[in-house]
Amino acid sequence: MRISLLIAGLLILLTLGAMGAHLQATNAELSRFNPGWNGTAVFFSLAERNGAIVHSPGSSPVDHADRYLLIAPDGVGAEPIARGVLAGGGTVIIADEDGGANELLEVLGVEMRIIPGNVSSADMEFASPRTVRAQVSSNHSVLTGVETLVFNRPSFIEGGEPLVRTSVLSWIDHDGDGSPGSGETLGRYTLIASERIGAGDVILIADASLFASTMKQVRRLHDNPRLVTNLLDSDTVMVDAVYGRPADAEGPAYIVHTVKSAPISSIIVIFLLMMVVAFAFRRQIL
Amino acid sequence: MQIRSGNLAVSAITIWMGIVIFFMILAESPDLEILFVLVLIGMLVIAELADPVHARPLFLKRLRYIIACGVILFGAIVAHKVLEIISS
Amino acid sequence: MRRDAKGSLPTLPAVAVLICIVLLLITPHAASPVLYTTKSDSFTAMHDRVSVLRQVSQDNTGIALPLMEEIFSSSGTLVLNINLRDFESAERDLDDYLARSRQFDNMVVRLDMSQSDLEEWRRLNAQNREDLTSLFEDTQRFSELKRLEIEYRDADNPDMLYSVMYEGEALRSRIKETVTSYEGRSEEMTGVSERFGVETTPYTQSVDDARSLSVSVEDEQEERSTEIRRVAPPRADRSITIGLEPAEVRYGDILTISGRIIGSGSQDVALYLDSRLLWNGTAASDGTYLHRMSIGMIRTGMHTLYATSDGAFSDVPAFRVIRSPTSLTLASSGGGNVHGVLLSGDVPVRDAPVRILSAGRPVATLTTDADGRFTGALRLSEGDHRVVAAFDDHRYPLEPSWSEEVLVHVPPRKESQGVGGIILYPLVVLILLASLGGAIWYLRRQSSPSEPRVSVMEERPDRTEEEHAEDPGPELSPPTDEYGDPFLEAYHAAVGSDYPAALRHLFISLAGAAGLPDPAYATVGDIRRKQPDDPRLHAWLSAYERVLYGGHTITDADRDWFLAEYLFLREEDA
Repeated sequence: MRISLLIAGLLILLTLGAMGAHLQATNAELSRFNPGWNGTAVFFSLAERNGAIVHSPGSSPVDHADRYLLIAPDGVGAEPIARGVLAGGGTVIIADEDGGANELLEVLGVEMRIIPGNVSSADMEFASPRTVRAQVSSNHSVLTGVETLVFNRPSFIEGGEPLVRTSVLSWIDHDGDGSPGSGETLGRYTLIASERIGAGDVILIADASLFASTMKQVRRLHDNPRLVTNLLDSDTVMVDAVYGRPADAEGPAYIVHTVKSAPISSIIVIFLLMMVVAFAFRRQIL
Repeated sequence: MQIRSGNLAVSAITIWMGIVIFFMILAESPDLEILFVLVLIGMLVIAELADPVHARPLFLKRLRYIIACGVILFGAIVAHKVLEIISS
Repeated sequence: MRRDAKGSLPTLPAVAVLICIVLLLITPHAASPVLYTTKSDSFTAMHDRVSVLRQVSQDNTGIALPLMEEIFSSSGTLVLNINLRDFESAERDLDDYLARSRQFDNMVVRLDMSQSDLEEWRRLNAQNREDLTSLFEDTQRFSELKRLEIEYRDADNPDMLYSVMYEGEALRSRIKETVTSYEGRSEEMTGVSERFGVETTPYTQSVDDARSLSVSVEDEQEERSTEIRRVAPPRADRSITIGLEPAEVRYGDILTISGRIIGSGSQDVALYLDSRLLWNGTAASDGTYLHRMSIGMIRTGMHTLYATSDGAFSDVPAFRVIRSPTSLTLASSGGGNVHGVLLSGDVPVRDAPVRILSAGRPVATLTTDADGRFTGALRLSEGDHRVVAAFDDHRYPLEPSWSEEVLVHVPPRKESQGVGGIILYPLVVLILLASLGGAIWYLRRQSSPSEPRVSVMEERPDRTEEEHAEDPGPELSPPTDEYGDPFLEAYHAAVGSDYPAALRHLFISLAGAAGLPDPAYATVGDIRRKQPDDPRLHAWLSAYERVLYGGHTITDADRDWFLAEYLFLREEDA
């Protein structure tokens, strides 16, 4: 009977584990709760390992961050924090490809804009012209040691000082056929640009997919890992998980995460575990 | 741990299969051949553990036949893979 | 220790319910089972799943732009060498230039950029290519004329001298025309090149060099003409006229050349097209001659004709050949063969080379027949290939064209086993035999860890299974009239699978017989205290202890002894 109890307990634990993993995960694009290929869970765990502070709902933002990273922000909620960082001479880095950041840029007084479009290039890293390879043409501090970058369906930037541009054999694929045609002129498109605002500067990246887990799963991706390391390499780095896509969580995932991250939860869990162990000892099961 | 009953062996193999499938799904890489090899190894381990001191229960004899078939199938898989590698 | 009844019966309904639930969940999807693969989840609107894509890592701009610059620089040295009249080096440069241009053309097709701005550059370069090729050939021939002039002058051959002069005249006008066309294109070409960031200095230099070439050719011809007329004045008694109709022709048209010999003498007429003999014929009795020429393999652009007959030379009219568009179709005829048709409008293009490319590399060159059709086999490896046919021969006044991409499936060749096959099949058979042998060995093998412990394992299994066949479980009771002792029954029931448990039955029986109140909970010490002076009992108990707690290995003799002693002890008590 002991053994069958053990087996039953094991099965229940496995089921609970699977259910827990399922509930905690989500399919939302670029969400930090999405452990799949199109989520940013890997990036966020890397950021936390590197000492960055993740600003999530329920926690308060850090006062004197000198680097503030926003991934696919939506709306102007991040404006006060961004202003604070810029006023302190820090860098605000925004990665966006569907234009949602343009509101925030306007409100911050930045002239750069993201123009959503299917930037494609003959210099493709993978078997798709939308996996654009671009050479770095600037020696900005964030781009030290970075020569070639790979982008994943980027848009392009108008305005600002270009830091990374595509090669000349690149075009905006309006008709989606993967090759340049009439009306799709070949030219160089800016993918990363920067602009000085007051004491600080804003770096705009026209591709939020740089932080997606699939870009980390590839073994050799030129200098992309170096770029991510450079972005996280500063005294106080704050990564946003409130105003952008990383905060997306459909259904129970959000609830589970807020519960999990509340400090009292771990205390409750440990207490429950202790009760179970005590009970087991009492009944001489263990 | 003495595995003295056929029930226990079956439960153990089922749990092992469940664990392997769980991890395959988690890693998003389902592969029938790897699953088959791992389950065969699990069955071999259980057959070795289920060596009672005094007698050989009936279930064990049947299990050994299943394992023998599994070994032949494993040989076929290896041959197939060799063919693939050489002809590529 | 009592055995639980096998709990399989109460769980059967639960398992049945589970199976029903699982079937209910699966059935909606059973009709179209889609197994999850990473390929089926390979992109979303925002990004591609690059970890499943083929990492091609193509830096095509790094190939295209330098190639364009190389094309410019080789055209620069080509014109330079022509200017210097170094035709050996110029020929090498020309080959180089043509090869690179072809490489560029293939690249544009391969990158699927035939509709893009890059195609514009390619088109301009193709026209440049024609001009430069004509320039090379014409200037080369022009230089040769100088040698011929000296030869004929020494041989005092006025007819040939005049032919040299006329040929020189024809070449001069052609060269001038070519250089004008080349020059006229340079502004557009420079504009497009600068858009791509291509260095254009060698190209503009080549345009200048071409211009000075044309001027020097003019001067040379002028000099030659005056000299020859001075040395060998023309015949006054004979002359010959020539007329061309129409002035502009296309591929497949007929050019009618006619004229008349005025004066007496030979009626033989020779027509020279671009200073090469085109036709030898005889005029009619009234001096008129006629020749119809079909426009086939002749370059686009201006061409010159003149007629000569026995020392009389006609004027040198020119006609223009206009380039026509072409259409090229390609289809797969199975088994790695292809066929197709090359047409210019409705006119089939005959005896023209059609190149077949796969992934940008040429795999075959087929020739069209009189109906413009071509067919042939492709030397390709097994599997599927995307091929394209290309017609880009600039000796024809035809636009280059490419066919649609066609999928060619090359079936596996039966005899392709070869050396690999000889090794392959025995290896596979060997592996299968090895696995078969392994399985048989495994079945025959006895569990070695147990071997040293139980010396009679070989005999045991069969007997135990026979016992199991006879005694499948506690339900089937052994013949009670034989034994009459429930503990003995229990012993025999358990002895096959759990010997210590079986012994315990005997122990409990002995404990009961010794008079202990609770035999199931009795210990060896209890029995010893109860029956202090029964040495056989004590011996039995000691042996029992050794088996149960000391891990003593049981032999057949031991079992017999245990049973015998037990029976004896019970008989004693009974």
